Amino acid sequence: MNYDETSLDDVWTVYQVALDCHRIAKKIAPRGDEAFLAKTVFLEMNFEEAEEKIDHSMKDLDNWIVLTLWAQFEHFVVGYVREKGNVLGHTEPEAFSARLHDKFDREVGDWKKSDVLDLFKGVVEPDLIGQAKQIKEYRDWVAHRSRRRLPSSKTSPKLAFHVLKAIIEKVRAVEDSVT
Amino acid sequence: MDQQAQQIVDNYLESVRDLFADIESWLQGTKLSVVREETDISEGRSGTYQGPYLRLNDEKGRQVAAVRPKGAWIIAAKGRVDVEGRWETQNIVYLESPGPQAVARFVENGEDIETTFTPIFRDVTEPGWYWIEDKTRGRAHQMDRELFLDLVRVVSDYEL
Repeated sequence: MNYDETSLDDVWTVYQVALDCHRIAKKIAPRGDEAFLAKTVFLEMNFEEAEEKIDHSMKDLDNWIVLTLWAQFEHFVVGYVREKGNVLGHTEPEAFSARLHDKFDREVGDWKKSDVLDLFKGVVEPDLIGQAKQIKEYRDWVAHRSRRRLPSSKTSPKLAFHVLKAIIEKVRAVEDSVT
Repeated sequence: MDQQAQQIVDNYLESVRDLFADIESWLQGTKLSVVREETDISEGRSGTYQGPYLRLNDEKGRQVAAVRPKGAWIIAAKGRVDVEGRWETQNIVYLESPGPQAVARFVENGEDIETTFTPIFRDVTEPGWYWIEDKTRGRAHQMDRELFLDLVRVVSDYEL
């Protein structure tokens, strides 16, 4: 996949649909409407349990969507930097630049993401870069919850979507203006 | 608690007591003894009320499993008790014959042309306590001594 095919919008649409499905389930489950609940996990639950499970699932969904949005964003950012680094393979002496480019290409995916984000200062507003770093911090907490302290600010899927999308759009706009 | 809720609770507790009497007789001749206690049951529709609770102890008096009433307002059932052990929990539900049904209405030009009733659980032949083998397949097994002892083994890993 080309980095430019990254689509936060697809993840956002899936999230909106899943969120509405949860809302519908939350209306139906406490009524014990068996026509809708046959062959579902809600059978045999008491009404309070069913509501609790749905609430819990919605919270987990929020976190997993932040993870997925970040994965899409990271794919875009690393892909963009990788493409910009292609010039490294076209300098003289050729034998050196080929090795330099190979090393860059192998290792760019492992660069600290806050350092990668700093590369975009001047292209993207510093405030957006700062917010993206906070989203990364929250994403790391979701992914490694047992080993990390909860970041000071919680990231909602809505905030993550808007901030990360704004950065991608800004980079694309700048790119369009120079080509 | 209003009169209707009280009636539901009374019916539920009566069926729990019947099940617990069966459990006490099923465990005769095994290594387990039964201690009957009272516990609080809290539900949104009724508030908190008291019901019986069973501890199943081994020969040294150590608890192997417990049978806990969970409530009368259960989705697709008229009540539930849980068999709790060290490893897991299994649900037993009270179903009325022929069990709960999913009702679907087919409407054409604003008129009902067909209404279907599909049982949510299969093999519910009479009112009683059932264990649901799999929620998707919906196969219900009526509780008896052999099944109850199997559930105790599953939740506790204790060999009776």
